[in-house]
Amino acid sequence: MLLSFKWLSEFVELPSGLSAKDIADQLTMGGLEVENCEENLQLEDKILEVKITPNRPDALSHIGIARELAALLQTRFYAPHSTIKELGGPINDVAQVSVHAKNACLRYACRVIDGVQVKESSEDVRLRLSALGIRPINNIVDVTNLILLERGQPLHAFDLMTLQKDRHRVAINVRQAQAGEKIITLDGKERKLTPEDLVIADGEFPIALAGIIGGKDSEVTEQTTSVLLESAYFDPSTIRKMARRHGLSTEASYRFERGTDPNMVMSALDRAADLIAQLSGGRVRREAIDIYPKPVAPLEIYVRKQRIAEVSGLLEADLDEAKIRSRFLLLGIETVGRRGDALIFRVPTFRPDLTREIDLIEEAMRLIGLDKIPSRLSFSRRMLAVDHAGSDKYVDKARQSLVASGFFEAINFSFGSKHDFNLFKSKDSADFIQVNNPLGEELSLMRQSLLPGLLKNVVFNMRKGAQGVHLFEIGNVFLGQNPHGKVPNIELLQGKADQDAWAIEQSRLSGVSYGTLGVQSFDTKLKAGDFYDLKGALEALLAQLKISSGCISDQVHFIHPKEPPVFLHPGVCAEIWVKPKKSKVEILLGVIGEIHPDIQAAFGLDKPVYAFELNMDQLALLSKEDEQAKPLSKFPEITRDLALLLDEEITAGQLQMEILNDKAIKPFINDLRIFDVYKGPKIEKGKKSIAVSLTLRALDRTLTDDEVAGAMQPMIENLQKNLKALVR
Amino acid sequence: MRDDDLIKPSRVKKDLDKLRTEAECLLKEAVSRDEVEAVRIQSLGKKGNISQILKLMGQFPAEERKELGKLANEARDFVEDLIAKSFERLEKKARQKTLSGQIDVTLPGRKPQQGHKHPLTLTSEKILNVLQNLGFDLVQGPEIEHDFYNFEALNVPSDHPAREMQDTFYVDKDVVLRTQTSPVQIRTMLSLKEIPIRIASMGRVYRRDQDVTHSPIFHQIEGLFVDKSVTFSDLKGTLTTFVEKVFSEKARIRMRPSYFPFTEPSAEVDMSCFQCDGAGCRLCKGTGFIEILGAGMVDPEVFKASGFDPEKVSGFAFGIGVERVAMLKYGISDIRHFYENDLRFLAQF
Ligand SMILES: [Zn+2]
Repeated sequence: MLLSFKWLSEFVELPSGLSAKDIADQLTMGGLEVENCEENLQLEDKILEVKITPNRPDALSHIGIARELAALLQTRFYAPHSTIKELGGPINDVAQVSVHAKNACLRYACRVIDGVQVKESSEDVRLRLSALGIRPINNIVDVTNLILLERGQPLHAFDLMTLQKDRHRVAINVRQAQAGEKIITLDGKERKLTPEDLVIADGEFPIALAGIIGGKDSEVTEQTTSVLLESAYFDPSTIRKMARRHGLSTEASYRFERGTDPNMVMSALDRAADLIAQLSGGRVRREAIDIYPKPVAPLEIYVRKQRIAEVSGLLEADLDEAKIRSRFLLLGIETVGRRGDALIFRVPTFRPDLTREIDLIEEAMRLIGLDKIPSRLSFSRRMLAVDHAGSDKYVDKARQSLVASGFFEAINFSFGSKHDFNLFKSKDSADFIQVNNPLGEELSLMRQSLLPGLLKNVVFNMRKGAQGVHLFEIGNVFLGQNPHGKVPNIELLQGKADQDAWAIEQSRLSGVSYGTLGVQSFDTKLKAGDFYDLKGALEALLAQLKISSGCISDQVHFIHPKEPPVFLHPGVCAEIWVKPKKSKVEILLGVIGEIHPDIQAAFGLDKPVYAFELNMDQLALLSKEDEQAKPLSKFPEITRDLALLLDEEITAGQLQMEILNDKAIKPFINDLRIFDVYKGPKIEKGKKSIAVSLTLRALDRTLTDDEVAGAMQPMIENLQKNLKALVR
Repeated sequence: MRDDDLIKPSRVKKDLDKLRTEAECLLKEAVSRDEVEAVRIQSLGKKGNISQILKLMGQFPAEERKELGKLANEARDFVEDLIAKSFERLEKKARQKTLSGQIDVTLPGRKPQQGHKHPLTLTSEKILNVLQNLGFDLVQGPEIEHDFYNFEALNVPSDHPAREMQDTFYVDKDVVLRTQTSPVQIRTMLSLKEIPIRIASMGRVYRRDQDVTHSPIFHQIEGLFVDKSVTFSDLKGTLTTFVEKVFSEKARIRMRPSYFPFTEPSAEVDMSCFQCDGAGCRLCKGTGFIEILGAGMVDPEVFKASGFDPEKVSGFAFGIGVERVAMLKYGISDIRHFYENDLRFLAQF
């Protein structure tokens, strides 16, 4: 809202020596934030731009702000008054009004001004309106806008001659529109109306969208000689819905939808009619029409002094009741009585935001000044005993681990395009959740995977000249609708606070790795990362979270899936399964692999991309804080290396399982490391060689060579029997 | 060696002297460990000179034996000491040799590949850390939210003008992408039902808005404290400490009355500008203050919707935009940098 400093000072006594800047600061600290204060040289005035919060329709005018200033500065407010000179015949000769939509239109008043001469307004008026953001039109419309700016009451002027008449009389009707009715509004647009629209109609047609905009046909033009001037109170919610439906926001609708003062309707009308008559040489007809069947009475609100203290933290003894009352009075809030500890205040109808005790307490605190309220840092003893068990340390650890492995953290939008997302979608997954009003098609679907976003980041960075891009992201994916969340269900919250969430949301941790690994130095060559580099980073992460117990984990299994996910290379992918101790079920933690070459090509990347995606919720369940330390053997370890010739189909995992579960060797194994895998001319076709290094020890004695040999022999025999493995 | 009978004690003394001088001579000229070792074997070894001499001792009377024995031991100690010193001398010489070379210390080191956390993560970690130290527990909530939790229960009925303060994305009728983290307050209060409640929630929020300082997706952190007799003073105290810990001990706050539907009274909280310390500069547009968070006392309507009696409990809530803090802290002027994930940008944090 733009305000003229000069105009404001007509309504409030400003202490001398206060500059426009001081006034601006006062308003800002009083909750009416002045965003700008600019000099207007033509008008020798200062124009203030004030941000008005939606609860304060009363402040959308000069008198509203002036009243505020008077209360903030504790000076005098000069309320405007209206006088009117009536000439000519009674209005009833030319117009009558009926209000059919009684709930949507609480009050409808009008006057008629005859003999007007429509022309351009004086320069003063035009400059003032322009400076305050309103385009000058003519001396009639400009007056309605001046009164709007002065008092906050929207008015509308119709050309009386254009309205349909029945025996020289216009019959105005405030009613719901009929289905199929149309109106061409002042902005030149034809609008189709529905029964939810409130219209002002003459005998036949709608002549205005009530409270929003007038009709083109009844516009005041230079040919106009008689004007019907409307002043009304419309139901805020009705106007708001209409304005939204028609995609229109006008100075009038902006005020009506926030709530105008039904008791200002007549005074504003009189003031405007009088001014129109003065400026256009017209005559105001005798009497006004004013349909106001159920006058709105001011609210009476009880405020307990003790309650002001309880909310603010001020001491009850420090509250100056007389001062609060006198400052309330400056805002138009009268003290009308007292009951027990409570004062009874009467709140004027221009303050629809003040309906409860708390609202007046807020008003009192605002006038006292929030800077006068003491600051207190108190800890309830019970609160300091908070249990932080539920906090997400595992997220920090996962992040730390990946950062230590050279990954950069990315944050992407949670919505994206059908084109990108469909590449990753398997047939049986739920449909994407769609944003109904997206900022564009490319931001319209809620993601089901973090990988499309990360791949785009790879492309972006490669274009910027990166050699290798290694990224991870932690964020939610949206996997369709939650069957328990169709509507809010408070009952369900007793177990878990998000049980009735509308969507199935899952927290994911995903990573991608592309191009070279490491940092170039003067004497080393960089190599491109591959599946095993990424798997290593992931294993390090699982070890950090104590999900795997290090290198001889028997809890985490990388298994080649029977049905590989569509977005991964069918031959280079694994599911990650975890079998927690003391649990029989294995849990699928996520997948890792090479992005499918088709997708890689679709993103325009010429080298393989490796990726993983983990279910963060499972990670949370599986991660452990404090593991018991394992005893260290005081006795020396013995290392035995073993090269085994195997059929090509036998996996390292199978071999490892076989060794780790071998009865003879199991009690002594401390570590198992695969240190060579060989396929090639030196061995038979269809075979491969895997070399393992076993670290053996006993916790209670030094192992003898004989004991080791005695355990190795049956193990080797078992390997031969079960895997057809031969020692090379 | 029966004819050793003829040997006299004086001869033995002479031999010991000779042994000493010979060893001394040889060791002085020794240039390798092998040469020193040869001297050791010759003088002190099992079949070495001293051993030979000591073998003769038996034939002398006890008194002379004692004296000669002492002399022999002295000679052995002397040679042993010389040998040790020679070894030391040779090692030092060898080390000296290695000191003559010099490397090019200006060549760059071989760096391990290091990743970086996202600046928004670093910022929210800092904020959450402070809140946790103030006793706030972390809670989470869904990002796709029922209108009820995002608006209705927060005292924003469907045709309320306050809805205009936040342009909303819809995924269904009465289902929105949450415009604020506040619905988590409602969910927590409804599920806990017990005071005190001191929670912080952090997460993504969505608004239909996109320009240099607005992103359709951004991050918010919100705090809520509900107990018996919580006052505006407590809110002020908490925020003062919060701003001191997150920004600087010198930071002061200023509260301006404002309006949020879910708090009453509500306030915008400004912080003294950390760049000019309140004197006025470009960052704070000359005002000395920077708007940093929104706060207020929980509105009675919100308590009613959350199953609490506003006459029996009271509380405060506040919210802060992570992007805004990060932009201020790191001097970033374009919010889009946070979502481009440009490695050159991320590597700076
Ligand atoms: Zn500054």
